Amino acid sequence: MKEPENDILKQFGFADDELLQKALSELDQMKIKPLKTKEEAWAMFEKSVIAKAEEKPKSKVVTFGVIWKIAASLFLIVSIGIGFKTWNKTNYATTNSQRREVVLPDNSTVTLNAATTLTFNKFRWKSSRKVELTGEALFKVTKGSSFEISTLGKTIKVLGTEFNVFSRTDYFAVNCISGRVEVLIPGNKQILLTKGNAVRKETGSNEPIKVEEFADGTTWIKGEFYYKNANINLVFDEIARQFNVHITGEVSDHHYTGYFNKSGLTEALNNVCLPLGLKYSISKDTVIIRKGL
Amino acid sequence: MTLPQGNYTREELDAFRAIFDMYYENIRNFVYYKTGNIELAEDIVQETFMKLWDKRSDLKPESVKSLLYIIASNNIKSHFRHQKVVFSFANSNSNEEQLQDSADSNIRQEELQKKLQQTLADMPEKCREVFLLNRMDNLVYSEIAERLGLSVKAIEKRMHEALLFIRERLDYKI
Repeated sequence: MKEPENDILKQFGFADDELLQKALSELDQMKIKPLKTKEEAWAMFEKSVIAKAEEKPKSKVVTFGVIWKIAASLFLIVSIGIGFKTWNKTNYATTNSQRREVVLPDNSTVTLNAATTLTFNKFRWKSSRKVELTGEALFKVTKGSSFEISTLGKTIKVLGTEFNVFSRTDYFAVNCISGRVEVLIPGNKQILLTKGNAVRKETGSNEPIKVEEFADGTTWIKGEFYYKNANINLVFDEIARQFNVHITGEVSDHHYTGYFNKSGLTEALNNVCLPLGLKYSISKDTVIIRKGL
Repeated sequence: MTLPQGNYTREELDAFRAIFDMYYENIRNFVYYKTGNIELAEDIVQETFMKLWDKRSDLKPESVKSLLYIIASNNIKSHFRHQKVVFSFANSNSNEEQLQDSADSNIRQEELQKKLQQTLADMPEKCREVFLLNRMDNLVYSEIAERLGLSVKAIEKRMHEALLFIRERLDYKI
């Protein structure tokens, strides 16, 4: 009947799983509900073939109306304007649930997490390596002259190294993976990070905290997110960005230690909510979080 | 680029009908598994065959199948804006046999089906398409691999992930 590999329960070690067995046999009995039969689809296709054959070739004489002339000149002006702007500033941005790798003119690479923008001046790159960042990104900077990142009022300076920056309105963190990183936060002394150090600062608290032990902040590259005693709102904000949803509800003083990944929204919510005794409901693009009973 | 030829012969159309008959359902299901929208799937299949028709003068029989899958994939990409997919399968052994069953088991079965639909809808697209091509279209891994341009190993991995996904869902919700 079916080929051996079609007995997937056995193949993947679920042979004794009755529940799964039942689900699969149920699934095998379900069928697709097409709207058209193959014959109807063919009739439609034939019709469009005939319609296409009867189409007359279009006249080649093109006349420009006054409006078209105006539109064309406006378009030209606008594109020159845009061209000039992009000539000066190069802008890379990701939206929710996107991830993107950017290679800078010196072969440094920057991997942008969701909802992140990176801007730099291509024109002046040779004389000064400067970028602006909002969001989260992993930098691998090629050795060379000083490389500077300004992000929401803070400055990070390096020579050539690898490090992760998380910089959004409510939270700021830099993890140094190799080399040396200098972090300048207005109103504070400069902080020097070496391999394995990290600095964190919640908006509202004045003191940035330097952490010696290093929780790898770069697993997001693989779509995996780990947290250690993190403010629950940071976790939900990240889920909202990764899955492009809005999350609302009564969550306050919870702290989360654990993990979620990008493979599915409900799975991620289960990971976070179940251990904290929170409940959630999803409707369209909105997730509502409630306290459990 | 040359414009598609409007004129055609009866023979061409008949020959094309054979191709259409052979692949229509396969391509439609393929698009459906990816998009979860049967109406969109049927539209995309029409477009796909139309594009193939425009290329009919330089078609080689051995490349028709892979060309169809490539065109369909490209068409999906240009249509693709959906966020959530909703699956609707019909149950083939529906009412007749089940009339004598107790009302209770009917409800339970309906519930299981609903759960399965939702599970499929939530499943990552890459797993879902592989899983359904195997389960619903009875394609073996090598055939799926060929159609999607992937290795057999990758197909096995996705099948395993799909199964784990279903397994996990059954746990949570029962």
